[in-house]
Amino acid sequence: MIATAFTALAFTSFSNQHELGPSRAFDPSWWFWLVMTGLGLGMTVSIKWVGLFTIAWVGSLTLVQLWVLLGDYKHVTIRTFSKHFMARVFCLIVIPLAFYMAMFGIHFLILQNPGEGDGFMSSEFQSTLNSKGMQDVPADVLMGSRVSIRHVNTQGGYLHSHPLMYPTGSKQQQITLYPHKDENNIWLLENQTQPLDIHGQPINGTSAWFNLPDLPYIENGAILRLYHQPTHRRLHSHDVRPPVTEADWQNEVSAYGYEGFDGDANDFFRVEIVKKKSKSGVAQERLRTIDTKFRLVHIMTGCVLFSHKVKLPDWASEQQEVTCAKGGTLPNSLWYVESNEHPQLGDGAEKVNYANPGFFGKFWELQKVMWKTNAGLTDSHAWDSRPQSWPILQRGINFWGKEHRQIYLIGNPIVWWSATAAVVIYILFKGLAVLRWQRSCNDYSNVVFKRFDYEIGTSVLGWALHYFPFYLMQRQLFLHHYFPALYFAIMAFCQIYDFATARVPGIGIKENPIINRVGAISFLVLSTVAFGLLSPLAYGNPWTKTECNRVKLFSTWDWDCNTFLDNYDAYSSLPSTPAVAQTPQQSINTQPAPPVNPPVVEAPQAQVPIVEGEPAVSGAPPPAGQQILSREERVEYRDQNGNLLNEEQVKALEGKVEFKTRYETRTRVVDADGNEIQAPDGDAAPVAPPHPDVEGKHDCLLNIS
Amino acid sequence: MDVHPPLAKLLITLFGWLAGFNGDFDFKEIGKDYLEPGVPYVAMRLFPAICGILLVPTMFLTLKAAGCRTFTAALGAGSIIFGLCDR
Repeated sequence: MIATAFTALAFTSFSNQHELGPSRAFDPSWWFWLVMTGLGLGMTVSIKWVGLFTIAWVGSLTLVQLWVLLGDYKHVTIRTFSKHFMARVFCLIVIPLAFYMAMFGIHFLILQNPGEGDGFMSSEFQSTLNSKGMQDVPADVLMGSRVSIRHVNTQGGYLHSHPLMYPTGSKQQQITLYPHKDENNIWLLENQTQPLDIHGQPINGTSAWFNLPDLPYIENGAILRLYHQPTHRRLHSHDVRPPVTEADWQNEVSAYGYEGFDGDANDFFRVEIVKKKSKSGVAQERLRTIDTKFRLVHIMTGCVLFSHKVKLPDWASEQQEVTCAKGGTLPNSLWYVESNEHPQLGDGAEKVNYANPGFFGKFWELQKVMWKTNAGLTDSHAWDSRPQSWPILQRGINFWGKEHRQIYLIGNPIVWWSATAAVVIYILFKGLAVLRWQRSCNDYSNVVFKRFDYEIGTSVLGWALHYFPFYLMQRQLFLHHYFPALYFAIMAFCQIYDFATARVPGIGIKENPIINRVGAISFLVLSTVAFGLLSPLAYGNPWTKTECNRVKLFSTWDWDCNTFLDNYDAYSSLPSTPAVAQTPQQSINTQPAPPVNPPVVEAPQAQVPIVEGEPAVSGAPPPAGQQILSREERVEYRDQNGNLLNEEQVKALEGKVEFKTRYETRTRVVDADGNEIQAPDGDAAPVAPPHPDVEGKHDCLLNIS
Repeated sequence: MDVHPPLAKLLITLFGWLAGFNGDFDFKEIGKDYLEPGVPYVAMRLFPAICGILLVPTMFLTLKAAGCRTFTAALGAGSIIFGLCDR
């Protein structure tokens, strides 16, 4: 706001300098205000993109000025005009742009560490952040390499599997995309057939490729099996519908097999290097880390390993779905190897790493992400509003409410509506003026008339440019988005007032400055009174129900008068501290499982949520031979002493006390007959490690592997 | 994910740093208790407050620059005081 206002001041001052005439151009003060305008624009746009509207305002007025200059051939030569033009280009385009980019420069300089928003950025961008950068990796990918494979088009992450089954389709082990580094992202690349030893006998086992005389490169078109070492299963696909996207052209991808199993034909995938997406040179001929982008074609069905921004349900911790698609889009079918390890690629092997995108690469990428994210804020919000309701001050925003007080954002109706009226008056005036101009009434020869049109037009244009673009935005909008426009509208209001009381000759008001003063003062008194009446909402002060209802002129002003007490005395008798907090507990329990053969353990979360900056760790898979039968979630309300509260008690407490959330996980082990087994030491069963921030972060559990 | 260019946050950070804010408080929701963790909230709110206050003289000077009378300019400045400062 202040930046926009400052720009308005600087530009108005510059216009004054400019209007002193061509002879005074390029004076020091002319330059000063022009540079200040440029700086103001830079600041405004570096704070919020609404600054672009301010730029549009200054830009369009500058074009008008230049147009007039161009027509003034008596005083302005082409040479002088070019000088005017270049000065404005420099100050109003180059300075703001440089300022804007400098701000991002500082931003990158300060924020070197990874944070929550990293997932939005590309891998190249992320690798420039401390601790997210990675060691150089061997460039060549060989048969027998242990690799992690990353999806190119989404930031879903790495091809991942974990010891949990699909509840649908084949009921085989899940394949997902997981955004964090993890042991379960590691795949061992095997050739279609086992290699032969010097006697012509096949070498068995997954380590068969670790010690061959020739380095077994993976050429374009090679047929692979992808072996998931932690679970001894191989990447597998078949004609079964995927769990979420049940389209005919998509097949399920699973992990299938057991330790020692040779696999079957549905494990075969062909590497197809996409040359135009890969780095030129050897990376287009054979599989190379990072530089080669490839597709994995399933031999038996011809479908291509695919992922898209579709989340799996809770049973896969909302990780991203991976399918095998026939005719999926190319970008969503592209993969690359990020980490690569092979016994025959030691320290001496050729290494690669992400290319550093450099400042401009990062800058540009961030702009695009900001744009996309901004456009994506379309969820409706309890207090959002559309632009058409702003000028009439239809509704405010509730910020906070507690202990019978609240803070609610609402404009001062006197000021607000006067400003809107000013805009309406000008529009009516302009309509009339255009009509009369068409009829050649020659109003524009009247200096006051012309100045009125130009000056108020300037402010109203500022209002319009800060207001109408919001109609084009689909994202959630709030009343406070109108503030910059309101600032211009207030300017227009004051200017109209000034013309009416001090500049229009012949109606007797101009000659009487008292009228101007009295008018201004009485308006201010009026708006002060209005402010005083509404101020409990602004400051969160005590108020009474009656007074609140008295000033609530419209039902669309939707603050809640009932939260206030009946009289002010009641506030002083309120207890100074809120009632003791009750603690609802959210716990996950298992029900006794139906009898099955091996003892059953409930592993509530196969993997641990991620703490920023720390490497991701997979929780232990359930001990061999045990499997999760079922899980159950429920919310319990307890008081500070841990006593369970029933529904009525909770209802009675609602609004009076604060609730805090705590997560708790309990595991129950049952044997083959469904009898509960007492776990040794009370809780030796694999309980999920506690969430790093257990309290109050319900929304932040999205990172669970 | 932050959808705004960085200047505003940089300035807030600068003022937070000047005020001795140590970054331990997450400002996760409106109405969280400032007092107990010792957030220097007065000093930190001072910056946006000063910006808001500066709007008033700026409006006054802008209107003066646009050729309005002093009282008209005062009218505009007053409107900012009582019209916009609900926040």
